[in-house]
Amino acid sequence: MSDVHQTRLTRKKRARAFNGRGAIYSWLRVHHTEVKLRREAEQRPWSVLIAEMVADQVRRDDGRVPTIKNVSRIWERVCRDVAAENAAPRQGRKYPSRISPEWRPTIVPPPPIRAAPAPAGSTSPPASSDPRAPSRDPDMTPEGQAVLDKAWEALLGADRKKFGF
Amino acid sequence: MPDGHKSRMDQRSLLWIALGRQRVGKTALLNAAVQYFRALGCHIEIWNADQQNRTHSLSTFFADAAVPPAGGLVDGKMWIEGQLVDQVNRRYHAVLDAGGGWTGFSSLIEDVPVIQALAQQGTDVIGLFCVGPEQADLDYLGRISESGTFLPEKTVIVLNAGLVLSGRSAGGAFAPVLDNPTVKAAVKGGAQVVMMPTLSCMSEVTDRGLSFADAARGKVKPGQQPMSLFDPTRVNEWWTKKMPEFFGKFPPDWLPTPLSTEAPRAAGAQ
Repeated sequence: MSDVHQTRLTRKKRARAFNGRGAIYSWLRVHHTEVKLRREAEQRPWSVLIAEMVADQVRRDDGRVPTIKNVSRIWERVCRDVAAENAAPRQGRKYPSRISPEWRPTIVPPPPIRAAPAPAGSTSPPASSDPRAPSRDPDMTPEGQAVLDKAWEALLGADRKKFGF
Repeated sequence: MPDGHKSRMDQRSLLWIALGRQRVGKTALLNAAVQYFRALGCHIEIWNADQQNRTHSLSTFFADAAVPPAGGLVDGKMWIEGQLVDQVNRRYHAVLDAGGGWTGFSSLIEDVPVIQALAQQGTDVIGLFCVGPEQADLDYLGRISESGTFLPEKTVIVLNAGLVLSGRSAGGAFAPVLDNPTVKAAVKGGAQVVMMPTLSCMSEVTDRGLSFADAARGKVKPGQQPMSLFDPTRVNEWWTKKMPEFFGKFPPDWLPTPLSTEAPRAAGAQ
């Protein structure tokens, strides 16, 4: 037994109660995946796994150490229960919603791209960050600048439609 | 007016003149404009003084387009002058395709201040300077601006997106145009800048001499090859969506509206 304690085959897990099932059932159920692996893939004997069970202080209801017969019989039940649980449609924890099924998130449009505020004392907005953008003429009238800005926006809009950028 | 109607002088007639060098879309623009505003109920006379363009001239699309008699530059100048007088007398909207290069119209505007003279008679001249992305396309505007002979207060610089090479961005192509000092000077003087949307299958329509409304329905003339599967859809999108947006960018009083006082055309007049 000592070598088993040195290298455990199953990770120690917190025991859980399964509808009044005994300690052996609970242990096998909690360690189902590992036990299955050890038994089926690695062909480990029950004796080794029972040793780990005992190390986890698992006993029969009468306080005695589990036997291979006990464990193998309970193991069959555990496997049936796990298979049934996996086959059943998952209920999940679906709580009643307080939100109307018609509710949809409000789509918030992205904020418009605005030019940085003009420096103090300046009457015309700063040039676009686009390196292709036409330069700004300090002598241009506000109305004229608006015309040029609109034309530039229209060109960029056409490009966005055409190329998607 | 006491009865709420506008006087003849309140309702100003418009003369749309397309200007620019060869092959920048002057005829395409006027062709679309006449079709568009006639469909809205406007009476528009068509003066086709572009004698170098035969295949896609306005006369191809409009049987009622008036053309100058065969002759030289002076004959062309006199013909245009006669048309202007007729417009003042009978009050209607008109479009003039002056053609590219040095034309009878160029000769006329050197001779008399056409814009001011017409304005006094109730006709507003709308100058449509068609340009592509080439700097040379602005030469015409530059020459006219410098000479001071003809730059209407109501000027639209039309950036023809159809002249942008396939695969090139309109922004990259036209940015130098917007940066051009001639354009900036015109804008400073009140000119508008509007981009005319491209129709990739324009030649499929114009080569057949179709109206845009017919092409949008896939309707061709007898004996013509049908249009390709998607071209009518392209034309429909351009004609019913993009072109209304394009004209919608013009100041409203620069657009033709039905005039209530159009005098009947004299018998025998062109």
